[in-house]
Amino acid sequence: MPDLTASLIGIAVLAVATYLTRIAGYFLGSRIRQDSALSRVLETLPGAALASVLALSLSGATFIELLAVVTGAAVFLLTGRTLVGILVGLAIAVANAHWLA
Amino acid sequence: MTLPQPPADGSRPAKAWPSFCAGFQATGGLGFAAGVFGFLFGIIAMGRGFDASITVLMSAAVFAGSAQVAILELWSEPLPYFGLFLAAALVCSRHILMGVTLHDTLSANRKRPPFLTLFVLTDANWVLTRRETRVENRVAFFAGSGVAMYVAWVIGTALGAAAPGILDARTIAGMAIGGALYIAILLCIYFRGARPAKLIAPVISACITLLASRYVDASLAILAGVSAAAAVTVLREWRRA
Repeated sequence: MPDLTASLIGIAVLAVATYLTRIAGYFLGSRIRQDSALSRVLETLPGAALASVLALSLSGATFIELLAVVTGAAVFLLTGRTLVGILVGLAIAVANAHWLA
Repeated sequence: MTLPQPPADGSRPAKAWPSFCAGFQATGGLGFAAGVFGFLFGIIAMGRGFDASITVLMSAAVFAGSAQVAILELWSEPLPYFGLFLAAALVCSRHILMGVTLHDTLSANRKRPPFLTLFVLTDANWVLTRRETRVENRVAFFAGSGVAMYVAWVIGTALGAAAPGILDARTIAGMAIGGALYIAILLCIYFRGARPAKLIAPVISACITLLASRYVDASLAILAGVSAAAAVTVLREWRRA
């Protein structure tokens, strides 16, 4: 493990990198006219990025893990409660890890 | 948190506190999920030999679960600072796109950029703020939701770092799918009630990402997917014009 000083510098580097990604978009957005074609294109991309992250997360998943995610999302859509959806999905995945795998 | 400036036209600014509380409350289950992942991060980091105080400090200063998990592999002596910077920036690059779409919301009635508020930009409060149009002050709603995620994430990490042996390996392995579940629910919130045409870009992005991940690493695969989604949207805009 790195020593304390190196760890603190490492954390500072990570903090700067992640914060830059958080503020960069805001300043880019100030240069883009609302209701322009570019603005409409950019509007679609964060959702697309989240869908890509989800696809990658599920690419190595087992059938039961897929079932856990689909069931959790379906429960959320039916009940409108995020907590219930997350708990149901996690319960299936943990039960699978203990008793079914 | 930076509070909104009075509007230039002299009208009274929308009250921030009720909207802040609405954002905090709306985060609900997503905040719980952030706490669970923070808990898992604390356990995993301790399992890799991290000091408890360093683990909690990292969560408090960085506040980016996916980036923190991604850099665990790189955390060794000597620390590759440039590699850490690049890995964290790549993993969090979707926040750049989210920031672009939030500019008009976050810049309403204010002279200075909301530097502190932007620190709490996450996938969850981006989705919730984009969907929420009824609150009076969306900046405060965004901040309230972000603070809820932050508090849950840091407390979760602290609990995980304080009790690293509390969960067995099987439970941790089972809970690992929680990240995908969290994003699946975020996507449900974001696209709920959307026209089918709005789903084309994310579906194409996901498919191209899966295909690209066979040949390149995860960050580049996501970049390929998002680029494909951008190309499709540009084509659609071009046909519409």
